[in-house]
Amino acid sequence: MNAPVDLHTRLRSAGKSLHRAVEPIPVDEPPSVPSGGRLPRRTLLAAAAVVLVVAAVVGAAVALRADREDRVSNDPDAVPFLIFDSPPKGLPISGGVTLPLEVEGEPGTNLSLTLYDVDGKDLAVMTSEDRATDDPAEPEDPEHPVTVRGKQGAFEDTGILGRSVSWTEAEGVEVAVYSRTLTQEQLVTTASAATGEPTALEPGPLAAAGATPRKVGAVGGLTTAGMALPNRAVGHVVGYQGPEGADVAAVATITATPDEVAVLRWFAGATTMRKVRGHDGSIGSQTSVNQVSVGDGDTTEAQETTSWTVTWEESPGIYALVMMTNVTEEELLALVDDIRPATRAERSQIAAATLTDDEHSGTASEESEVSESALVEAPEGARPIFSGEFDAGGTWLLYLDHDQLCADLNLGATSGGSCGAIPDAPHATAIHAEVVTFVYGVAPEGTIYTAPDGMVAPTLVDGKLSPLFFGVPIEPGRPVPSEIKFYGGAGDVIARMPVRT
Amino acid sequence: MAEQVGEAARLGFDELYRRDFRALAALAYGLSGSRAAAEELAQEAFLAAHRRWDEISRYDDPGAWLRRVVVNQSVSGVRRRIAERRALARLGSQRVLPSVLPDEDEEVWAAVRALPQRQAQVVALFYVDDRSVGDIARILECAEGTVKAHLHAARQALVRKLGNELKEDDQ
Repeated sequence: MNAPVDLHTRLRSAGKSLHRAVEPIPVDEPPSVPSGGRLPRRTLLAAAAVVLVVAAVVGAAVALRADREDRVSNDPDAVPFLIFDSPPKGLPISGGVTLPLEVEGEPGTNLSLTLYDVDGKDLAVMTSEDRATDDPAEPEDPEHPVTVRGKQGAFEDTGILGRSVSWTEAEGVEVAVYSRTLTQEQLVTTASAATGEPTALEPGPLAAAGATPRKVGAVGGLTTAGMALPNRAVGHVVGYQGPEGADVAAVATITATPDEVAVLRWFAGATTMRKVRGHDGSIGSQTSVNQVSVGDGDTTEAQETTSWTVTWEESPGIYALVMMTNVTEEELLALVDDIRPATRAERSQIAAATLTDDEHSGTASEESEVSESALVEAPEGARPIFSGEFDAGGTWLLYLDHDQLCADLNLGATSGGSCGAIPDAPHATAIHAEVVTFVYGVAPEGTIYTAPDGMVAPTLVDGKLSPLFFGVPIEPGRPVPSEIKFYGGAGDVIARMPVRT
Repeated sequence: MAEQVGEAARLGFDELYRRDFRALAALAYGLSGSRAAAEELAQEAFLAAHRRWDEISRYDDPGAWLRRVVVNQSVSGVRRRIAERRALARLGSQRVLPSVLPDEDEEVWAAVRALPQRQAQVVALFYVDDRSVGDIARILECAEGTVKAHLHAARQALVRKLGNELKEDDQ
């Protein structure tokens, strides 16, 4: 059938399609709202696994505050900051983070992963411990139910980590066993024979007289910064991402123990040992399969995305991990050969091109809680410069949308925004939403800070540093300034700029 | 001062949910591109309303408030991904849910999502939710002239993108 020729008709027809698509959603029963108004927690473990696997490469990283005596260093500056010598396949740098990032308060969920060898086959036990739950997990109706340890569990065979069997071991504790080689029956058997505390289950043998699984490695807490990493790792991650996120790459250099690296290699499928850059390393790939619609939309076909990961021990106790999608093994190894430390200027540029860490952070568990800070994001295709939250709630964002400088305020139910050509001279503009104001623009060259206090930094535009952009959030109750003062390095006022509204 | 009794108070939360949930999900679907995320986004809006029900229930048009929340959150890439991940997690799967729209309609909404956010929101409210320019202005808390300007710019962009002709008399 040909599409309607008239735009209005076509839009209305497309609108009706949306209504038809949501008709099957049952609305007889409103959602049950838990005390505190938070969304019900459902399968935290599954959510965490999904988040870890599909994590975006743009610096969405969190590492928990912790010190380890067995670390080579707790100083990120002691860990090389490695980058590709030139962007692979032209992928621009999407961001970079330095680990660990500090997170205030106690995290809600800890996700641990222990790897075993059982009769020469892989077996991983992932445990999600919800430390702060006040909302019990809701029972679900799995597509492939199984009985594990007298409880209802779920079998899946579509995950990137292989087959899995998951269940709720105790209140707030969800456990899943994964394997790329074991069968469903073997997974149920080893899970059913597991012993130990709910948060530290040791899997059992595959048969009554079989060998006990041998522990290969463990990571006590996982986070994601473009790839699964120990959340106590110290180091750096640089992400590269093409349009629409179709192609991604990441270079991580972290402190880790051999135990942890064994788990990371398994997680990434990089289990073939080989020399990399003259060091002991490993390489491998994994393929995720997504169902995409074809034809009339009623049928789907599988679409595969393969990512290759290579790891090596760059120096004692310091490991590098490089991941890239849609690349061959040879291409990735050639890229890895040209990896080098970033210069100080390049590190500054990467930092300027990245949303501030605090505003972009979010652990797997926090993803399920939908941290308000995670809501700060530029439109697709745009380049964020600064973002942050008002103390009174709501977010502000300064970004580049093609050749325009844009600012957005988002207070949940209210939003405001403005875009305009990038000024070729210093200027200051204010936008308002309800009781908050955001002043932004281009600062004079040499500006170090502003009054009222805000943020000042350049960003990368086509690989070159932009003018100095600034942003000043004005909290409710504070006067909206009639001018912005720009201070230089000596603490002197180098310019005053009237604020235009 | 006499207490204002809004539409929501007359309907009650449950009835408002039954009446508007699918409409909000349709809006969110068009703007987010994900049916799974759309359902979560609509639910989030209602949960937000529930948390502030004492206040929301007094509004003359609580549906406008709900729509404002949905269209603001649906255009947030991060929010959309979180909602979709939650939906996928709830399904216990890592699979990406397929689109259920015909290709030609999927093309339309992909083009709408490529518009500047405000234009996309205006188009969705106009063509999906069948709201008037005045309604949209109240929902987005802006002037009617601003809505008309966004609608005009969006239509021009969509004509270029989709190749359909535009009859200006159809308002």
